[in-house]
Amino acid sequence: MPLTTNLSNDGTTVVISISGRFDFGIHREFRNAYEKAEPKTPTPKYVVDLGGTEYMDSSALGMLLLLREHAGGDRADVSIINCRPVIKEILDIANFDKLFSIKDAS
Amino acid sequence: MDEAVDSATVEQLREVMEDEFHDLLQTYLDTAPVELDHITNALRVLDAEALAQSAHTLKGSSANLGANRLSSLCRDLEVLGKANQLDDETVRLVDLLVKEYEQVQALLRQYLA
Amino acid sequence: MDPLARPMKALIVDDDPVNRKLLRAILKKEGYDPVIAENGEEAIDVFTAEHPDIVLMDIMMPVMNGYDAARRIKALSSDKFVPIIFLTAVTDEEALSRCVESGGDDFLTKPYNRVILKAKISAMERIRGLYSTLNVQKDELERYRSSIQHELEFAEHIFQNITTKGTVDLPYLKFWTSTMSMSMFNGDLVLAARKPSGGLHLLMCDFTGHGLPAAVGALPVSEVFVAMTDRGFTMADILSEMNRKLRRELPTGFFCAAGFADIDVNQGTLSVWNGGLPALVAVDKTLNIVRRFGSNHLPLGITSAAIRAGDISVMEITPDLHLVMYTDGLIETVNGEGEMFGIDRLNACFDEAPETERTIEFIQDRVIAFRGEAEQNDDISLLQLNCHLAQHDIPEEVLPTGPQGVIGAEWRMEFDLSARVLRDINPVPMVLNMLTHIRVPDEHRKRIFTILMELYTNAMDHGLLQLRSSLKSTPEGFATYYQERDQRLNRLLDGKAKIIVEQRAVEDGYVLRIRLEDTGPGFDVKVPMGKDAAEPMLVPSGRGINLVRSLCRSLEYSNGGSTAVATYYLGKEQ
Repeated sequence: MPLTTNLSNDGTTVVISISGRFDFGIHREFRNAYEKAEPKTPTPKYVVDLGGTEYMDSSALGMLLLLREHAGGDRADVSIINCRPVIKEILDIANFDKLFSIKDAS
Repeated sequence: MDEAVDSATVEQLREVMEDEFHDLLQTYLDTAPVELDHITNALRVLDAEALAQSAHTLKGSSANLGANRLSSLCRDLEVLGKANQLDDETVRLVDLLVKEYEQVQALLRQYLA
Repeated sequence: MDPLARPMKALIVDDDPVNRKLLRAILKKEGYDPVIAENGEEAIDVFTAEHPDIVLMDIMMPVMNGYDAARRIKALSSDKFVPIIFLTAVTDEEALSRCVESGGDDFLTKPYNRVILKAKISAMERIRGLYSTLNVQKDELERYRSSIQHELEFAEHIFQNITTKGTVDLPYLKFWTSTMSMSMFNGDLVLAARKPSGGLHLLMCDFTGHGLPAAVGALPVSEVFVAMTDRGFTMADILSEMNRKLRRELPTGFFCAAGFADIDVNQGTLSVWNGGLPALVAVDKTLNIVRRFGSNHLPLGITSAAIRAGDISVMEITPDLHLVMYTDGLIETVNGEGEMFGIDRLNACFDEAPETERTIEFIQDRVIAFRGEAEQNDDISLLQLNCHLAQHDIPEEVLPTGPQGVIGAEWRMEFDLSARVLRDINPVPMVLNMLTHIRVPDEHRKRIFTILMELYTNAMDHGLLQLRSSLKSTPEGFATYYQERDQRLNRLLDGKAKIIVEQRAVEDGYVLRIRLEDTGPGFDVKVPMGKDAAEPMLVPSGRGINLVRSLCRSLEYSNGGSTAVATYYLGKEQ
């Protein structure tokens, strides 16, 4: 499975993990992941785990923007974690750190 | 299968054709002698191809009417004609064919009566 | 209409009347509408006229045999499935294989058996049903495909118009674009437009997605770019407007990575903004990379925040300065082994290219050679701007298209601008547009714009904001100067500027008098820039003032530099 969704035990955080290619090919699964998650709070946090992601393109950036909008736009709490250097670079060029909390792979 | 025309086949035809049954038999009785003539004539002028062609046509319609012996004689003649083999055997088969047709048409006329 | 609603038509082809009659009777009983042909040739005629749903075909027939007829009929009905059942007594393999070869779908041996015939026909009907379902789907797909194709052609048309409109054929601007395989047109956009005061605005866009989203985004971008550049707006104003429009017009998730370069003829500067493109590269005569302009802003169309002057990097144009700009498709070009071209190979190109002038041709050759036979999976745009030549390109005067000559009237316009207004708005384009509306001849527009812009910049920078020109004498100073300018402008609470434009009759015709006043402490206009200037000395850029002087009949500073009056000759009344 290139994409898995988990809800934290307390039901406040939706974790979406993506492995392999993060591109238009998984846009439906990605949307389902946050639309079908059933968090126990109206303002859940979202974590996108890109630890297994090898490649992402500009449509993936677009999908992250849609997630941010779903999560409340400027009030959203979305973090992107475990970014490999190539993924980090793409997010850096787009200056997505201005919209998301971005953490490298440690 | 002793009869020149298989009665079961004819009964099936009567069922399928309904009021066209007589017309079907009459059509056969009209066309079969023409093909027979073609066959005897082809043998006389040694036209193997024409012999095979007419034997083929007569074979199919005869089979459909249950004239199975006639049909298989036609099949043998068709094979000989295609092999361009016009000899004593061919003559013998054509003789048998003419005689067989006499029986077939006599039986069919009984159905028409 | 349901094809099963009408009785199915069956074509019987047999030279023997007994067989024909028998088959016709059987098929009628099965609910078919039988039509008859006596040989192969007749079969083709009847087939063409009657469009039967199924064909029962004897093999040995005079005139044309069943094999030939079957082949012809299959060729005639290539768009739908019309089963052909051969009627045969033969069962030898060779004859059967000839049946298949000529397009037969099944066999029926004599004597005919109603049950077997019925079974065979209904099997064929099932296949035919599948076929027609498939055909309906195929037709739907075809319709869908052609409507998409149509829309793409439409989008391409729009896109091409935009690209042509915004592209100036300039000797100092070269670019290469290459469209991804499988796509009709490029999702990248390169636009260039000369500014009314001379110099150039240059924009490279890479939209998310290709085709329609790109074309939809390209429309507002190019309109804003061309129109606002023409009206004299600054790059920050233009970028802000594009950003706002794209945010409003494109759905969330679609955005536009963009790089914007501005050549300022009078200041001799190159200004660059990068939101989402790979770093723009400035190279010198020997192809040393003198500066990289990395992306420091979100791409356009994501938030509606304004782009501030502080987001823009400025550097002085030195002789032989070139700017290279590209979209990520260039470095993400993949070869047959799945390897990316990458930034290292691109950097090597700068080291190895034989001459600055032909840098992008060199890069282009390298990238194409690297890709080899592999498919191109993203659009590529690459451009090179010779900044030095661009800076010295004095635009030809545009032939007057609007009203010609001067209207014989005197008038006066006055603008009082408070700090609040000055912080957010550059009034020069606004004033220029009003001048256009009161019919100042087109041929003067560019010169008047230059005069207004220079006087306004001096009043702001040296009058109200108290910036020192001497800062700009070093490359680092350049950056500091513009950063400082942005900061001071944001903090500007007091102070006013006044712009007065009036048309006056003089002995030999009419003049335009442009007066700029500011409430700053003034600056010394007599001392030339740089040398022996005392530290607090505030001087306007010598270049700009000299340019204004050359365009005007007179230029006078008074009130310690706080008031400038330029007199520009318009000509005689016509």
